[in-house]
Amino acid sequence: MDYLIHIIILIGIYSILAISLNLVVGFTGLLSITQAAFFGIGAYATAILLTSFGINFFLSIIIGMIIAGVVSFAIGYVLSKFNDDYFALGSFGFNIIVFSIFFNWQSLTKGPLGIAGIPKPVLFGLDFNSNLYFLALVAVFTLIVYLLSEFITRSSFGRVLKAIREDEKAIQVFGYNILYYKLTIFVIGAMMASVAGSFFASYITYVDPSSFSLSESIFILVIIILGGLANNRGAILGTICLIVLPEMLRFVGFPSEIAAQMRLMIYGLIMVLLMLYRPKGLLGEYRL
Amino acid sequence: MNKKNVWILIGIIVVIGIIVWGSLNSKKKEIPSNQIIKVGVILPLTGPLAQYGEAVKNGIVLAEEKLNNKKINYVFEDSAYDSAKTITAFNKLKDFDKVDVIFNWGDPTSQAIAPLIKNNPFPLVAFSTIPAVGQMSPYIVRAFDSSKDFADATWSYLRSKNLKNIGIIKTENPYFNGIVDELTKSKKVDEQITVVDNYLSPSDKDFKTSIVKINSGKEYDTIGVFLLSGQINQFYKQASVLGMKIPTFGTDQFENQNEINAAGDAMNGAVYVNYDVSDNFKTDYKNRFNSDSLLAFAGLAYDTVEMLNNVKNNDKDSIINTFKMVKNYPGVIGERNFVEISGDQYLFAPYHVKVIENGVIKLIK
Amino acid sequence: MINQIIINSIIAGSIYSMVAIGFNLIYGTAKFFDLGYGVLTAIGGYTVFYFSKMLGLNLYVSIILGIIIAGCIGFLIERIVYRKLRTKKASSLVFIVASLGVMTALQAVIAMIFSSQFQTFSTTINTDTYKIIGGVMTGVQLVTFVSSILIMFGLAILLKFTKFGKAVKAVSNDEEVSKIVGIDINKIIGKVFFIGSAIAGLAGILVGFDVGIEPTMGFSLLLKGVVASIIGGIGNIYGGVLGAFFLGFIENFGVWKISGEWKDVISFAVLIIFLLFRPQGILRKK
Repeated sequence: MDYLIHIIILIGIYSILAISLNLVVGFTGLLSITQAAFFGIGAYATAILLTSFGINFFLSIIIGMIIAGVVSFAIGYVLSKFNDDYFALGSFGFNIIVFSIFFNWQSLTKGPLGIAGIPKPVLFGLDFNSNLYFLALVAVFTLIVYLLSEFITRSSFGRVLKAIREDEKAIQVFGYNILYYKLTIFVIGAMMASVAGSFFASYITYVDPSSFSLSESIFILVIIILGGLANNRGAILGTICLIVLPEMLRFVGFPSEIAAQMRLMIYGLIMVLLMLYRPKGLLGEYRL
Repeated sequence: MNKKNVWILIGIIVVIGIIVWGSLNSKKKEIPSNQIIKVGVILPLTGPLAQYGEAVKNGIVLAEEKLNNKKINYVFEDSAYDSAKTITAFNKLKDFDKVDVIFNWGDPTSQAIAPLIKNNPFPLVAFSTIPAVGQMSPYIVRAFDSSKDFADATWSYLRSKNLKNIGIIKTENPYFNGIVDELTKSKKVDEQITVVDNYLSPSDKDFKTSIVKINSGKEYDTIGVFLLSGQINQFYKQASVLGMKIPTFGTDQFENQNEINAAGDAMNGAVYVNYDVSDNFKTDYKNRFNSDSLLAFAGLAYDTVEMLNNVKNNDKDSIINTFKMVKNYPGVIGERNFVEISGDQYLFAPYHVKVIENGVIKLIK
Repeated sequence: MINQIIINSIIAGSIYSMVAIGFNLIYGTAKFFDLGYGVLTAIGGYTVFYFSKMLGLNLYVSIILGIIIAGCIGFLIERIVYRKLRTKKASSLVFIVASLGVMTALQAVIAMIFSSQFQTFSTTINTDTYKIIGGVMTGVQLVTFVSSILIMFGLAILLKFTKFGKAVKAVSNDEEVSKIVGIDINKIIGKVFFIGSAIAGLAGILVGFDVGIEPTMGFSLLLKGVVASIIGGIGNIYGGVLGAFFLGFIENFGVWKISGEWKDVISFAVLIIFLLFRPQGILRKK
């Protein structure tokens, strides 16, 4: 049972990440490859605040969100100067920079040694040490993020985002401040990712920089492309597929010498085939 | 039903599918004889440290073939050197494969699964140098010496040569950072440790500018080379081209003929501290895998698997006690003893000082 | 001492420049960031390893085979994946994701065949060192430097004076017009992929002689190549080379003055500064 609960918790955490990135990539059309940086900021915020200062988990979520918000505002401001490919390139540059900072700022993050012993959340005397309770908590937050994202994308604000994605110039002519819209959604996306990071840190009880590398950002991107861009349920479906599929491959019985590489190869092939035959993803409403 | 719902349905069916499949799978193996021991092994088989995972896996495979003990089965899982993936693999091995003991290689990944053992006792052999991992639960035994043991052995060599001012070049890695911390902790007043440069990625292989720094900066008595497989030969080659004359010392990572051969003459005179890997094991390994890389890791894994040979029952206490009763065990990496220090438990193997001469590893003292 | 840092920068720059040249050439004609390009360096390197060390073939024959096979595989990838995407008029972002997939899959295949252990070629090749402007360089590094300059000029001449070059230029300027003029775009892009990938293969082989090969070697090389291309001027061959040497200098002086662990931060910060203030790079595309 632990295995299944674990998988479902991971699906919850990555769903939050996928929904958050979908707001930026799917609804607004900005190809951001830096979501793992904000995921990491949330995770480190919780790790440090809980282990060194004994702050309540839920407070650490909020502090993490604030930090991620400030950082993403600065990054988003710089990125807003770029378009398409250059946006993608600039964003993964930022991912590498933030990743290096996690490594190098050792007085704060302990560098490669990582921070261990992060406690589980406690709320009104209710201890979430049991994985089942933790799962419930993650599910609640995933639902909140999902509903929030639905609300945003259905609001008039969301309609402007989609308009920016379809035709930025036209919408500019109508007098909309594009920078404001792009930055706002980028910051909201980053803050959601930070929430996922807080849960990740508390659940795994250990963080080190390797969880927040460029390949993690690419993984989140592949999730939403598979699930379908600009569709919140797609983001969740994509997460389920990409977390469950590698697990199923464990049972296929590849010879153990090549099993691990085989899974990596299949992951690569999925990316290629998806782009070739279904760039909209499973439930997509917009194609890259 | 529209298209979207169809897809959602497919997703749900897939999930239910694996649940059912999984439970069927686990049912098949539900009542193993209490003699059969299933060992789950979690290693980085992909990612930046894949070559280490491969070597350890080879060591285990070799032991499996040599011992030919039908009572022990192995299941390998990839950790990709990632904490979340390690926990996934851990749960999978426990729930579906119903393994009786888990081996996990790596400092960060061991730190990630140790707390799980604390809550639900389960035998874990952690290939980790971090004492906090061993302290987490009586059911965790570390298979490596502590960084402190390594630092002590290194200092005793350096002091015997009267080397006081030490420069270090390092790849960021919990293992190396741990050793450098311990070296710094146990230095005396007149001794000095300076980290000349740190590199972030195991794929960084250009140390030329750091070497120029060493050559032109303050006078070091010796340089500590804390680099990973694939980087070491490069450092020595570049140092030799740039005329670096300062003596060097290294880590167990030097026990790698592949590395020494690649460096040519450049590694001559390099001193390092490591377990003593037996020649028989080296030959066996070479014959089986046509490789002589990272033998200390392979040997360590070999020994640890061999210790399981004498386990009679597969309950968690008999398994973990087998490791706890290890005394004067004649392993391929030297005599091993179970040690318990301030709640930390590990299998100690003595360190030896070695030197590389004309492409061959020699023991000194 | 400072001379040696300059030499170190040139050594780093010459390997980056080879990757940048090929990457730039492909970007110039096919107009997308081919992030899968890096893996071709590993293919070149492993081909030489396979033929020379495992089969015992002559080293120079192996090198030529390595270059050709890398070129062919690059050509095939274009044929199988990118050409289809092009006919579907996929956006550049689709190409980026597809090329990442190509890289992931091929790296895994290489690791399955050759294991993840690092490998080196035989050390019989020239190990002399050369003193240049007060710094030291090995024979392999000198060859790398010379090749990068030769490839730059060779490619520039090829593009300027041959019919093929003119066709490449036409495609890179305007696909529609060149189609009307009667240029077979697919054929031209196919050839460009072959040439670009062969250059990557050669880069991988030279890296192999210098520092050894491993399955994942391509990605970090590629990142350097991309940064170099953008700093220098994307789509401009001289620009890519200039950017590569510039990056080599930034990195080595960064390590010299700051520290090794900030190397990546420095190079990507420079990239972002360029994107902000001079997105066309040092040399504008002509």
